[in-house]
Amino acid sequence: MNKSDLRKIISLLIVSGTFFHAVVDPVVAGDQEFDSSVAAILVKRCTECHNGFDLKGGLDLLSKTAVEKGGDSGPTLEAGDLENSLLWQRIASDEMPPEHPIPQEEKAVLAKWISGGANWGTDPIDVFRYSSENRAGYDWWSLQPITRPDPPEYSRRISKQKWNVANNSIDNFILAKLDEHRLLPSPPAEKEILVRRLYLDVTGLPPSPHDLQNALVDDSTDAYERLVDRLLSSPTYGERWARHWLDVIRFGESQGFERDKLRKNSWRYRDWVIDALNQDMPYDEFTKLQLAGDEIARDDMYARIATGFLGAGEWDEVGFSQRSPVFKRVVRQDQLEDMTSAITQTFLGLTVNCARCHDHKFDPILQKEYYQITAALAGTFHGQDIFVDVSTPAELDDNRKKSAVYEYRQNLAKEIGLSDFEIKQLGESKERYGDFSQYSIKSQDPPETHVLLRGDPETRGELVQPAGIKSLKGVSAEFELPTDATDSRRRLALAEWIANKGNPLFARTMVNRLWHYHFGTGLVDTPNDLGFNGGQRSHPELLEWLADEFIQQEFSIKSMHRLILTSATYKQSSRSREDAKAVDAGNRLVWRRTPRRLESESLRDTLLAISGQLTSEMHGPGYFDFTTFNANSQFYEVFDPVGESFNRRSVYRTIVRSGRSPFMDTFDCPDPSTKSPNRSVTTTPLQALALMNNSFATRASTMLANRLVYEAGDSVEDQVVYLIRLAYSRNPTDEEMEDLVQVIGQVGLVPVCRAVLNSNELVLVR
Amino acid sequence: MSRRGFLQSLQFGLGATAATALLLEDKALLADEESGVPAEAADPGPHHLSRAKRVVHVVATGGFSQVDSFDYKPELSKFHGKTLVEGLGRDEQPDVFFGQVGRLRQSDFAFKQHGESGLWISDLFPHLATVADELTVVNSMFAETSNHTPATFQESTGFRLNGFPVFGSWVSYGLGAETQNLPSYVVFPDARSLPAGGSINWTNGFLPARHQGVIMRSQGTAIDDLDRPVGISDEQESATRNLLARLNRRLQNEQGDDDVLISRIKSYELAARMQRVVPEITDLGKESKETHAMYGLGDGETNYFGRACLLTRRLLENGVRFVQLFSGGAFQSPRVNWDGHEDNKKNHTREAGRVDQPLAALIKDLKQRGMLKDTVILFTSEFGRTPFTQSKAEEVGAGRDHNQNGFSVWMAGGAFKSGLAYGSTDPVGYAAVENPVHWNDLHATLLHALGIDHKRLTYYHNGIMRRLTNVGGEVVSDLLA
Repeated sequence: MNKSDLRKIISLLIVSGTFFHAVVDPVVAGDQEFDSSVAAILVKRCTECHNGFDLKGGLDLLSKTAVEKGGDSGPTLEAGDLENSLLWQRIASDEMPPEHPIPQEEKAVLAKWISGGANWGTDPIDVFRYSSENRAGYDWWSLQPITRPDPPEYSRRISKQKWNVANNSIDNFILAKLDEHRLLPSPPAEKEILVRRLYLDVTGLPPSPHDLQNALVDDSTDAYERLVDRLLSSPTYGERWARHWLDVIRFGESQGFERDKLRKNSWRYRDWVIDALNQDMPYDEFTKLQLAGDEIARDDMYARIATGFLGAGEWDEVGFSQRSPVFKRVVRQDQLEDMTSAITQTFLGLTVNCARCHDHKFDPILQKEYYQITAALAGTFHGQDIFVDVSTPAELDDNRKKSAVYEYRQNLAKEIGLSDFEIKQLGESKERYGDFSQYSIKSQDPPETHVLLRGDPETRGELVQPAGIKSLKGVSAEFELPTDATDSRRRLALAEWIANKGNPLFARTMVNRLWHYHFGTGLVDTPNDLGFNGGQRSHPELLEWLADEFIQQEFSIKSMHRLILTSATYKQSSRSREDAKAVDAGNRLVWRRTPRRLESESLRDTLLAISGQLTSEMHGPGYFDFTTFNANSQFYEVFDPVGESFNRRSVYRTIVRSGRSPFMDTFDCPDPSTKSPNRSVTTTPLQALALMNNSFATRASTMLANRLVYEAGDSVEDQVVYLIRLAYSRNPTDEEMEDLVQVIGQVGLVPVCRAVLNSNELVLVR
Repeated sequence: MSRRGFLQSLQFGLGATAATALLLEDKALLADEESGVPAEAADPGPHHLSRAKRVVHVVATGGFSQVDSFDYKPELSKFHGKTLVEGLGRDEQPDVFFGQVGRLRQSDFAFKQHGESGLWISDLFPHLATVADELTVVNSMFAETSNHTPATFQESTGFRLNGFPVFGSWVSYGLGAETQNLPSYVVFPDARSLPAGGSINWTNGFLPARHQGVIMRSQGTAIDDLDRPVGISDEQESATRNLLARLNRRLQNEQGDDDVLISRIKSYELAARMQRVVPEITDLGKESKETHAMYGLGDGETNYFGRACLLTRRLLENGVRFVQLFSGGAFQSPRVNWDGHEDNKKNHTREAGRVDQPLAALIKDLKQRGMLKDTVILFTSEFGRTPFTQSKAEEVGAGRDHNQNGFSVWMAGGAFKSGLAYGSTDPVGYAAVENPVHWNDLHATLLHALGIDHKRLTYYHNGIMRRLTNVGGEVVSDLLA
């Protein structure tokens, strides 16, 4: 070894510190065979325990020098002499690896290697180099730059079907895969079914009988496409899809932990999401504003409201105010983990939080890189963001007016004798409008960030600067920030690394989510994890194509909605088919539309809409479905409030962490402290009890019955027609008409409405 | 099966993990109307022979003092009035929640040995003392934080943070329910208030919603929405149900057989059964006067908890898998839990007074019905209290601060070695020194008693197969019978 090599190695050791991962570029160009076979086996079977960090038995197997040095039991091997090589003895006897012996084929490779002189290739071995059965390496699919595969041709089998194939690349990919499994797609759904499905998917509300009628009589060739466009332009679209977003980003309007204090001013962020989606804000801009709106446009109130994303998680009030500085440091690290995990899982589908205490066990993410990301957040703390200074006179005035409207409504409520709770609620809303601030973040001077060994704040490792993750190809992980960069400047650098056309995960993660919400299951069925532990892709080329298309469409979310909604794949019938079920019961191949139960919020909204109670009031402070009092902790008693103020869409419900609504929860409303990219859909007897007996549901039955009389008149037949149109978005069959007329004659309208509201056809979207 | 193998097997196989529809679709279920709900876990328990089938978890909120209850420390009396450093014989600077390290205070309650086992119990729990031979005490617990809520989260979920499923949810997920007529996991909050964090204490976290604890009341309507709404007659109710069945059947004819349709239909049948069965079970009037007296029902301080314990026995008899009872409410003023910062003796006397007799009654009652042998009863707190008082350094005050370094819990039930005190703290009861037990270890042991291998009970969530025991936990076999 010459001086120059020695210098290289020394500088390498200094740079990499005590950690066993070397830089990606090898010091010495390698022997291909060693890298792809021997090194792969050592990484797969040995180096989990025998690496520079863990050193079990004092043995490090990652570098030539370390192997030559050997471990506690002596030299590792005798090159060329298999029988006397300690490594071989241990492996051959299955003593090593403990409990998981190496299979014969791999043993043979190692034997050949040792006997042949134990020549080393790339030095040191980089454990991330190749994906294996145990972990992902740099070659993992989701880390590669996005490609744009050509949509495959239709097979003749498919084109013989009278399938309404649109000129839509999605269909090419789906049909090709169905063909691979010798399955046919399903025919398109009937028009009424399709209309109801479209309305509920896009806006979360069923079509009114009037809307339904208009849709059904429209015979033009592009009637469907125009309906899609109309629904996407409706403000109700943003209200529905914002709720999906809030699920993912753990949006809660209380602190959580012990005190769980109410956050009265978190609602502006929720409105911001609704508006951003309605405006079809490009997704990269949507992302950057949420991460660094305060840097991008310091004097723009709306840009700052977006940063409510960062503060949406819990905050441990008691933890932060306890005396012990040691425990307080842990609490701060927990908070950084909350923000880091929310950011990386939401926007990158990567569980970077799993690298807080050690290198990621499954994805090529270093512990150091976790701390590099937290370094970008080192100065970010929860706090109140006061807008009074940055709002324009017009904005201030507008806010004042809205507050005044609530005051007016409150006075009116007192006059006409509404309930005390509702009067109080209106007063609350007035105050909350008047309070021109938001619970989000407050910047501080970023302190130094160190790697914390084993995640322990008391044992600090090397100093790190804000940076990204190297294994993501196509975008540089260097942030190139000056050392005195402010908190918001750092977050902008983080945002620019994430929300980047070159970032392989950014577009893929979002299009996968869109697919998930439209079809019930993503192309990757773990929307927050596109890494090793995530699900396998059902349609790899389609995912690529969609991701690239999303970028080509300048990150327009509505363009992707339009593309998906106008595909023949989307329009398929939801009828069950035994032949297809036998091959693919879970419908990963999308051979039909999967019938799905409405989510909590859509169910509640639908009940309100059908019974004529739903108000169209948009925006503003959410309503409370609880009373609350403070006795050291904040207590929430959830109940079913009656009054117009509470008949808003469920997205406007104030979500508190310790006051879960049994009615909403029983229909799988998630715990707001979890990131919920994928709501479970359960069926339980408690749901049946809720829909049959809960006061909200029974009130809906009564109001629905009243509506039928009021709007359809006294003819029972007319009432039945109207009921079925409202609830099921179609006309009743003759059999149904006869049945319902008879029951109404026996027991009246309310019991019939009650049955309809509990029925599968209402609660399921087919 | 490896996690990847499992996930892969779902690709084109029989439906997703979330399809609880499958539960109700289980062929065995359709054949036998009375059977329970099978476990939802992909690798469900029991994994080995289990000694226990059901759990009663009594959660004492606030942190009860071990040196005043189960951890007999004669040395503490000797060192009464001295400093902790003197008592330990080494330099120790405790990091307590309120930062006030006073002098050591001996226990305010006299300790005696009880039963044939000679278990040491203080006269804080005179009734429990009479069933000493049934108890298994662990005196060497330790926690990672002295902050109530993260400590409570760890006690219940194994993690310090919000959002994880609690012990009861895991058991419901891993074992299923023995009956369809009742929720598998029932919760009785304290009469005085919900615990701090409310429903967070019985959350299903990321497990499906059916594993969330369902609150029951020992007076009034037992479960929310159980009763038919006022004003609906029998005729109207049955007209609704019959019409509902017809509407659903028509849709099924049109759509074909779909799990999601069928399971919904079934859930209504189950709900109807629940409406019939629950009022019968919760009718305590069916119990004898002697039983009422044994549990402490009546006008006294033991009435509410007594009712809850008696109901618990009836629920267990009828197949409920997990019942959680709260001894103590939240952190308000005046104090309504075990958090004896100001006057520990007064505080604990009050709290123990509410639960001692009913708990002893429950143990005796289960035993005479032959149910104690396959039930786990668990009494825990998020941490213990300091042997020194919360006061100025030279004083022996009246209150004790939080102590996460060493504290006690107890179990009962056939799975455990009874009449045993396992592990110990140092002579003054400050920190666990012999056989320290982490929450993960205790959880692993409890799951083992239920026939579950804690490493095999997992659920995929955001990148990792999650467990109750996080990435740790060792079964403490010395505790098991």
